Amino acid sequence: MRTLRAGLLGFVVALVVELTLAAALGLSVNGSGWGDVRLALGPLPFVTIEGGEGTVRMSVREGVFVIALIAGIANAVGARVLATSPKEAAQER
Amino acid sequence: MTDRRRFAIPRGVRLYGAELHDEALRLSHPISPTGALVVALLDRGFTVTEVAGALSARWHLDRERARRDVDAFVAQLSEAMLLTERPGAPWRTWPRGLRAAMLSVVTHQPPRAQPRRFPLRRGSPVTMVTDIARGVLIGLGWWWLALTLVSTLLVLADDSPLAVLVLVPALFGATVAHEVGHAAAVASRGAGCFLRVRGLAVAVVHTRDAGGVRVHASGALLSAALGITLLAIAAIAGMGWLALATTPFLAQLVTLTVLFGDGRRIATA
Repeated sequence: MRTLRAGLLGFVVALVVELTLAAALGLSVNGSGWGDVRLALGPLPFVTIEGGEGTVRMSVREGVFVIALIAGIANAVGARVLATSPKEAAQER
Repeated sequence: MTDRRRFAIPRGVRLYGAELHDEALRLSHPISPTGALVVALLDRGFTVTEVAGALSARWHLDRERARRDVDAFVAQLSEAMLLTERPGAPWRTWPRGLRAAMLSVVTHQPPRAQPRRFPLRRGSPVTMVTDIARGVLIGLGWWWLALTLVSTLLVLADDSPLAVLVLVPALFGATVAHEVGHAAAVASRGAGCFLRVRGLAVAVVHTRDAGGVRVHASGALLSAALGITLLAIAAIAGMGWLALATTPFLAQLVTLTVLFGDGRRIATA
C-alpha cells in the first residue's frame, strides 16, 4: 500500500510539475517573443509551444506522460527501499 | 591545541540552574552542574580553550583531557541546537576554514557547516512570514549575493532576457513559502518550532510528535499553490516575466518525492 501510494504521488507530482512548468515556459516565450519552442529528448517529444500575435498554443506530447510514469515507478522503488532500510526503521522508532 | 571558538545560547533557549529549556519546542534538557557551568562560561564569551582551562584549574584535571571533554559536550549541544557558534571575523577564522578545507580534501567529505538557529515568534501570520524571510535571507546571505551577481552578469554579458533577474527573488520567495507552509502546519497543531539553516539546507525544526504527513507535505503544497495562482495572474495579464518567476514555486513539488527529506518522511509515514 505504501509503495503504491508513493508511486501514485511520484506520478502526480511529476505530471503537475511538467504541465505547470510547460505552461510557465509557454507564457514566458509568448511574452519575450522567442518564437516557437519544441522540447524533446531524442525522438521523445515533450512540449511544443507556438507563439503567435498575442496568442500562444501549447501542445503536450507523450514524453510528459512517459517521464511522469518513470518518476512514479522510481518514487515507488525509492519508498520500498526506504521501508526496508534499517536506518529508516530505527528513525521511525 | 588552542580552540578559539566562542559559543552562545541561542534566542529561544534559556539556562535555568542545571537545565537548558528550549522555549520553541517546549522541551527541557537536564545537564550536570559542571555542564551548566560550561554553558554559562561559553555564553559569557569565553573560548572553548579558556573554559577547559578554568575547569582543569578548578578540579586539577589534565588540561588536554578537559578540552576534549568540553569539545565533546559542545558538539552534542550544537547538534541539538541548544548552543550556537558565534560567527567570528573572517580574518580571525580563516586558519580554521583552511584546516576544514584541507581535511575535506583528505577525507573526500564536504566540510560540515555550522547550523544556525532562527527563532520564530508566536503571533500573527505576518510575524511568522517576517521571521522566516529574515532567517532565509541572513542564513543564506552569501548564496543570495552570489546568485544575484551571476544572474546580473548573465544579463549584462550575454543576451539573456531581463526576466532572468526575477528568478533570484522568486527562488527566495519559494523558499520562504515552503518553510511558512511547514511552520503554519506545525502551529496549527499547537506545537512550537524554529528555523535551522545549515549550509544550503533550510528546515523548520519541531518535535517528532508535532510532525505527520500534513506537516511534511504542507511546505511544497503551499509553494505550489502560490505558484499556480501567480501563473494564472500571468496568463490573464499576459506577463511573461511573472510566468518565469513561478517556476521555483512550482518546482518545490519535487520535494514530495523520495529524493528529498520531506518526501522520504511522507513515504515512510
